[in-house]
Amino acid sequence: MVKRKIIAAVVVVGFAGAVLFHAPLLRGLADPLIVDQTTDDYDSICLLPSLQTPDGDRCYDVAASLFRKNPSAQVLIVVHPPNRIVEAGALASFETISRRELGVRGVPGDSILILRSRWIDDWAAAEALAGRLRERPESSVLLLCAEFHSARVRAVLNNVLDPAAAKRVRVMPLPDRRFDKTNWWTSRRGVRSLGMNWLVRLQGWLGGQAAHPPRKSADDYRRDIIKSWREETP
Amino acid sequence: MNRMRRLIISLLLAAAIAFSLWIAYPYLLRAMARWLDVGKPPRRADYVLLLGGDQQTRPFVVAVLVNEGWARRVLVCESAPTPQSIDGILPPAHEISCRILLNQGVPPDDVVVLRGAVATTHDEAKTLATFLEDHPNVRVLAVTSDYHTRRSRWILSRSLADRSDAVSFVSAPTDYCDMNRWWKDQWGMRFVASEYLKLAFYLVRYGHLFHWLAACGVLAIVAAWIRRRQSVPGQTH
Repeated sequence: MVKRKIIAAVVVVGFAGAVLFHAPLLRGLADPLIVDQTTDDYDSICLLPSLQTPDGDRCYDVAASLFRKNPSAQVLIVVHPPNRIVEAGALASFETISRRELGVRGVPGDSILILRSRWIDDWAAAEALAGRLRERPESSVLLLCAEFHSARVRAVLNNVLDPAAAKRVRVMPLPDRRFDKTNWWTSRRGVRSLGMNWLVRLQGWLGGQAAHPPRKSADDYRRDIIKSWREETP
Repeated sequence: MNRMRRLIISLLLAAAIAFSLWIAYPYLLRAMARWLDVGKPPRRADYVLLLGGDQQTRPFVVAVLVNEGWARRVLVCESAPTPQSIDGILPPAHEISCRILLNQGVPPDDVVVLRGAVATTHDEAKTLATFLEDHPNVRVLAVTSDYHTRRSRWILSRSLADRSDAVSFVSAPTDYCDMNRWWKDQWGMRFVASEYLKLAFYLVRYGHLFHWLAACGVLAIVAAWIRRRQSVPGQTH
């Protein structure tokens, strides 16, 4: 009977504590996803792409502002291989969009350097950056990415780059204008972003780097779909 | 002695389960991805509904359906503004989809944009429900990514109720990640594992009362069973 009372008291106190201290607890849930190594010591600013969008809200504003602080810096843009949307002419490439947006914000074209990655994931982006760091062993890079994606990016960089090169890359997290680590649970997008980034973090721990499937043009994709429908139709 | 025997049996059982899981996990994980895909080969319809999201695959499948004569017109839901579209960095998602459709040979007059600034599949289902009220006798093919078809079907069937059989699902294969090894892939993990989380969320948020009652019932049965085991003399420790 006493044991039951103790268990009930622990449950009640635990519940009350969770209600009272939900904000620090939930902030703590976001902390492992975030790495902030923002520094003034950089000679390159690096932008990453997500699937079709830049990784990190207001990344062009921040990159331009960092460039103004250090006008001798180069802006590195990692670009994925062209996808079907770009090939279809429905959307400008990440390179074109980035050049346009940085140009509008006062970054001259000759201060922008394109790093081409072989695939559309963080590993390939880190490999593209590794090539640049090998060419410029003295270079120090400030890499901009989405806040909840920053720890994952740091982990991939540590994995791909040799330790000396990894130290020369600092990660600057960019919070989304709609949510950040202090209030992510108050918006649906915040919850979704946190969940997605936890899963990607988990994938990094469990799965590592995946093999890349062959890239298909719109024509190849169409042909394969029609073929699969014919095979599935009784 | 009895306790020792039970401990050894428990350890052996746990080891057997762990070993089986270690052997079977690729098959289980592959089956998890396959379970999400409830798409079927297309059938003749009046409209194709393009569900918002992965534009590397979905609009291309919609264009194939129209070009191959499975349906004549396309429904695209107007998307809610994103930070990039607000800042003018990217066009709104539905505009990108429309551009892909036109580029792939779909006549502009056959693309119908349903107004409503949708942000979720649930919003799209409500928009389609409104459209079907005005067009009661049409058949619709809904196109979405393979991993998204099960949740979409569930959401649309809840929103459309007795009109849900007017809609059938066609999968757009996600060809830029290997779904047979999705847990090894950055995008595969985002798509498949998150889909299970979203399914759980949708069941809780939009699910039928029955789901809640069933869950409570199962919990009550488990609690009663544990209590009964603890109260039987000779079975307590």
